[in-house]
Amino acid sequence: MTRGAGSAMGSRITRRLLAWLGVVVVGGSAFLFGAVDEGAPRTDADRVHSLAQNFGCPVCDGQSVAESDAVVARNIRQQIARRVDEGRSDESIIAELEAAFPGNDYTPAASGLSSLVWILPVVAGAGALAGLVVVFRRWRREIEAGATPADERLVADFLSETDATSAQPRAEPTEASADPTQADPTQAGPTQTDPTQVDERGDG
Amino acid sequence: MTAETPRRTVWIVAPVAVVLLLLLLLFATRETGPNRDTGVVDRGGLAPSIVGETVDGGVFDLDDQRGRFVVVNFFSTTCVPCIREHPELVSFHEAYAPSGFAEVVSVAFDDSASNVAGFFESNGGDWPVIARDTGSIAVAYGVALVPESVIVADNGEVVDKLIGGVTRAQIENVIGAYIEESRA
Repeated sequence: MTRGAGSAMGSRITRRLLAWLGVVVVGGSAFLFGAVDEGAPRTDADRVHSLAQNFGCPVCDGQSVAESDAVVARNIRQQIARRVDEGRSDESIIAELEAAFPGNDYTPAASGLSSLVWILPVVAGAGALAGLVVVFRRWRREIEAGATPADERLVADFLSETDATSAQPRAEPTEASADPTQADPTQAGPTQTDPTQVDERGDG
Repeated sequence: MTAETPRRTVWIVAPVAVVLLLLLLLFATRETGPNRDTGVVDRGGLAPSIVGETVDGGVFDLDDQRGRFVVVNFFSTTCVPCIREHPELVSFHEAYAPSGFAEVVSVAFDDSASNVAGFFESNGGDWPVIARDTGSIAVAYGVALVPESVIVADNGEVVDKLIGGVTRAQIENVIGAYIEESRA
């Protein structure tokens, strides 16, 4: 195999990889967006529910005000609804509730150690992306490097074997094999060999 | 398997381990749960407004009580500690309300007006009782469980919040300490 053929094959594989990478990125992003992002609340009721989900029930274990049926949770839900009706902002509503029931705001702080909740996923995502880039670049380098001497020896051995086989006298053609449309594809010459097949066997 | 494999493994495992360690650190240093002492009111701050219809058809407004101490008592007729503390509140009210030194106002917590009226008929107590639409008052005072009592000073500021059942002596001590502190 020549270096030009290897390079053409390499660019074809790179294009295929890039296409798959694009599919993974687009599909993954869509999945992540659908799973994580709930979008902005559309109605006042959505807004009340969203605020209630982000505020913990003061007397429950791990339940938000939206989930709990405790009296205080119901009172807080009603209070949120009243404040939303009054046109108060989300921040002022949460601040009022946090003043009355401290330590129940589920929204992680954007500073201090709690900020890791926001930072870590971004760092992990960036790390994974960087890892993918490194791996893909390494693969591309390997492909662009073309065939190694060992590969070329392997191909040469294969070609000489094929030549020896085709040089042997053929049997009398039967009626069926006389028909050129019924020609046996395994009798094809070396020029018809799929180069990718040779390349795959030469891996090493 | 090549000699490069262990190095590659390190490159994969190390970042994952760092992220996991950071997460562990984050969750280990966070508070374990909600504040079970229920809510707070700002001691020394102005007491949240209380305006509501009383069970006898009148209207109670906390602002009208300026000049006297007010015990804002959150209760429920089905709560045992509330039933136990009731005679103490009656005793306090009988001692200090006639002179205008102090008043008691009861705010029902998830209870019906008819139940509340029946409770006061049976157990005594002649002070304003608000039983309808009390959710916002409870939230403003950070009440999550009953009984809870907030002592409001004659100038409208919060003196203290008492969690659980109260006694007459306890209320007297809180008010006495506040007066002493104010004079000092």
